[in-house]
Amino acid sequence: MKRCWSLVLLATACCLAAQGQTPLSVAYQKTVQLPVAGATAAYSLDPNIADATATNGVVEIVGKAPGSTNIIIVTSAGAQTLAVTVPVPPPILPPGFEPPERQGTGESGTYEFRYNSDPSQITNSIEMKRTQGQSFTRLQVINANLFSASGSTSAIGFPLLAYQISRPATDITFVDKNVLNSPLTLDGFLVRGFHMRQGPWEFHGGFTSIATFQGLFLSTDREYTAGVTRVFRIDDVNSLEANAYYFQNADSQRTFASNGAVGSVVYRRKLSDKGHFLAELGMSHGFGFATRATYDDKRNHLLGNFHIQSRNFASLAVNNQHGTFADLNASRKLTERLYASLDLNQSNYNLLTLSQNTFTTSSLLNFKLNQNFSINGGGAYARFQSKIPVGPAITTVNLPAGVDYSTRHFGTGFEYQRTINIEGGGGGNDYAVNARASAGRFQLSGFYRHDVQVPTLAAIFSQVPGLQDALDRAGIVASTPEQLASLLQNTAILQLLGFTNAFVVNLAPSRNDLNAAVSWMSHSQNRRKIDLSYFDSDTELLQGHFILKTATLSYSQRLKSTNDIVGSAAMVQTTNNGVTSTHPLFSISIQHRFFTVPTLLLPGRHGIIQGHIFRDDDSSGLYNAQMPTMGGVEVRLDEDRVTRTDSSGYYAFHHVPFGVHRVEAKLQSDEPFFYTTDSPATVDMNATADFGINFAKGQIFGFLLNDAGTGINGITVELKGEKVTHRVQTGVNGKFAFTGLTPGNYSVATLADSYPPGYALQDLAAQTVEVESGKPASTEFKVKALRSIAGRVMVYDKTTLQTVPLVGAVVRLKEVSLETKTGETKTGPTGAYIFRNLAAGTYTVAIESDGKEISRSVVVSASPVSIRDVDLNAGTKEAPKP
Amino acid sequence: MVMAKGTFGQTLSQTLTLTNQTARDFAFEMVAEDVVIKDGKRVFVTAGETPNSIAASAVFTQKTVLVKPFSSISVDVRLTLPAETNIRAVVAMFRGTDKLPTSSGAVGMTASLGALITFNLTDNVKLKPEPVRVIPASETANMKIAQWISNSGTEPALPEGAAAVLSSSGALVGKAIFDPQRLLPGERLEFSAEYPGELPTGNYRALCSFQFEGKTQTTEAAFEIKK
Repeated sequence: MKRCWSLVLLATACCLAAQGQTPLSVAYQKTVQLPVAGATAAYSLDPNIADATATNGVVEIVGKAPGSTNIIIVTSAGAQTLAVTVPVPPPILPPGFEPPERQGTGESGTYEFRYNSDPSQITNSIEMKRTQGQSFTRLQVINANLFSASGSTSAIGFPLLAYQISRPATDITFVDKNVLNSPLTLDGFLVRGFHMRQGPWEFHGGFTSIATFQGLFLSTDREYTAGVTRVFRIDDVNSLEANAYYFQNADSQRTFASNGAVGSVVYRRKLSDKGHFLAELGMSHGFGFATRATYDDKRNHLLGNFHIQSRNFASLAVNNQHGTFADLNASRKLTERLYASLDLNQSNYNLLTLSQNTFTTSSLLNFKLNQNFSINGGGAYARFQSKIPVGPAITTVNLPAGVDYSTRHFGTGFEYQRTINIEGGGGGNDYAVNARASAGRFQLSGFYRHDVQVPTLAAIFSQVPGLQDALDRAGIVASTPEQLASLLQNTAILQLLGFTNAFVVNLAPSRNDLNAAVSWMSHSQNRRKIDLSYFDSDTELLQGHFILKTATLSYSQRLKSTNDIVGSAAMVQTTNNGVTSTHPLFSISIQHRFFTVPTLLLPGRHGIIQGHIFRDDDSSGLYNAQMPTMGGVEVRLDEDRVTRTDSSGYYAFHHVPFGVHRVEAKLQSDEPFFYTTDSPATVDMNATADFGINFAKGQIFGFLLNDAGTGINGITVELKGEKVTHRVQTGVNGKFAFTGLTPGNYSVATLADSYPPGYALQDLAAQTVEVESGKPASTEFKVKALRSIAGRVMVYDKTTLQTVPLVGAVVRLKEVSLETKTGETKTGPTGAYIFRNLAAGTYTVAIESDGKEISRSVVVSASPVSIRDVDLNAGTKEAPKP
Repeated sequence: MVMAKGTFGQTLSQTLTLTNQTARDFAFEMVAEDVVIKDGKRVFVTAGETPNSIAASAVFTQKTVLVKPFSSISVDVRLTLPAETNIRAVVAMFRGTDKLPTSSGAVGMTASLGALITFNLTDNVKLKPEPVRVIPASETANMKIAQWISNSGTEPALPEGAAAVLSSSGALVGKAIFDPQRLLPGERLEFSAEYPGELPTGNYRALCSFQFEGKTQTTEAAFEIKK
């Protein structure tokens, strides 16, 4: 068995290494032993980083220096690879010292004005933040008219007012903070008061009096809390927390929220960078337990919550989760084509005024047939049961199956679902079709869905104007049991706080939904977008119909680079049992971003960053005032602030906060170019950052060669374009180049005057060469070099006893074909001969005399040459016989 | 040697430092040339003469330098990778402009010194190993384990590795390290390692293992040591 586990361990380690996942980590100067059955040898590919040996089936790996390498493990089955990493050991610093860090610095802020017509609410919000490394200071203010459960009027208030000073070891927040402490104490509630974190200690004290729903601020009675947390860090990934909290609610909320103290212990574990796990055990008037986990990697996704809390467990009234609650959302990519998902939701409210059980679960498999088609199928189960207030139990089972077709510009799908109503014994067939298409800047989409036996929220009533419509719309949009369960969980607080009556889930016999939408988005920088949609939902109730029709037009646009505007107008028509009401809805939002903050509010040093953008055709990388500049080029500071260079190529960012900043030139050009300076550049406050731009010009290069292929040095080559004329001289190997040329056609020619003697210049011709941006063009000139061999043929005349010219003798160049006759000539009256137009090479000059061949070997160089005096002696000329 | 990993359009800055340990001045001009492979060997090509040249984008902080005796000088070079390029290596060099006198005083020479900068722009790293060769030790030379490797991908690679000698029972009896050599796309080089020990008569296996760009490959060959 041990042997099996060893093989499994090695196989797992090797597989992980082979897939590029999780190499074996061996600490610096530490040894790791790995049992590997059958290992006979092991060696490292970089013994400076890690070394390995194998003895008796145990592989021992020693970390010798930080880095990564591979270990080869030899077994009888072959050689296997194990990736090993030796991490950098943590620095050892004297007590009180911290490692230096160089972090980014910046200021940012936003202001938003928002108006909703129904319910009529105006919201002003402003946020300013100054960041320096891991420290920041932030101011947040939201001003709005708040609604209360007692009537239809609203009062002006500040639902958020916060000033936060955060340092690595300390965090202080005055007034409001959204506290995310733990599931059984404060879990995402806005607490107005004082908040502080100092090392392992954390304190929150104050009250909460605001609830939110669908973006609406709702005023509630004050609920007081104070508590302290102590963190015990076990190691880098594990920690424990101890919480001690006290909660005091208003008398009106006592029916569903108990006062008292809560003590809890929290265990947290960080799952590398992919997720985390939390478990909390608490005690108050009864026990509570909660756990939460998230995990995400390339193939898996997991999000899970579980929460159980006794009815009298002390809490804020806005924390309505007394009972048992569970959520699970998981998915996994099983193969490259098969994808599985699972959802589960359970809510079990156990309060004096609310007792509801909700359980939904669904699982789906999606299989990709090819690039365009995929099919899916699965099952879902849902059960809704309300005891307080009393409602019917509703249990449904759904069995969906569907097919999808998708391309880049078009997609459509069809889904069939068999629905079974367990309690009623009925059921039916659901189906839905959808389609989408895109063309240019337009996108269209639409669907039609027919459902039977649909769990539906009914008889919702709210005193707050507009909240009724918001709830109606939310109820209609919740088209699946999972969405309905989630809505019930989110809206229970409205019911408990008295904003609405109790929600009851009923089973509607059928529902038909129709949706059509079209959107248009510009490609320009102002990001204009128009959306038009129509939605029609007809729900058949046990008595009559509920029909909702909405038509919505929305528009958004970026105004300059710092302002956005979003507006929408909708017409909503509801028909309930024949009674129809129609009313309009409007909303508008204006956002403004700013990148400096008033020193008075958030103190800090400020300066300027400036510079020029210039053409740097010579790639000098340095700006001087004589260089041509470029106006109208966009420059960005820290990806937030944007400006453009003026006509002199100058730009400046004023009121830049102290610290290191990133400045980037963003030139838009169809012509290829590159920056001759760093862009983006990293500079300090009060620095100059110039940006050089070199448009990647074309060039022509070529060679001037003679007919032997040898380069000709020192010849002038002339280039003529539409507006330019350049001359260069060829180099030693005959090479010439014209650089920095704009695209176009050029005439290139060698100048006859610049040739030395010895070349045939009658055929020199210009060549036309086409140049493209950033691409080289080449050309080649060939010129004939003039080469000749000359000499005389002499003979000894016995009559005159002198050497005399031999006239009419046939002289041959043996290497030249006789058929061409070019390799043969006859001597003239002086016995002279000459061969012209010769190629470079070695020649044999020969004559025949008295049946014998007389020859001389001559070497003709590649350069022009006239070889003379290649004389041949033909022997003796006999004297005439008397 | 500098190995850079990047993407098309990215910029790389590198500092080149030259130290003059002689007693005379030396003048240089700063030059960048593209390095391409022709017939398995490296060829330097003048900047701009190859389509989508990287060397053509070279920006030096100084175009000419004079290095004083017993001093150093540093020059930064900035290279921009074109949006599309097949070039993966550039040499940035100090090209001598002085004629150096020889002892005879007859012929002058110039000296150039540079750094080879390679770029990995995609994950297409492929090495093609040839069979392992084992050259037994002789009275005048150590045993040599050698292997030719060619780069058949589009990216440079820096293979480094080790050779292991295993007995017939699979036990490790010796190992040697291959000196890392950079292989440009299309290039073919021989990697060899010497084993200085003496092996007794018998049958053995030689394993050559290389790691490069997150990959590993092992090839082996059997050999026999005779009396």
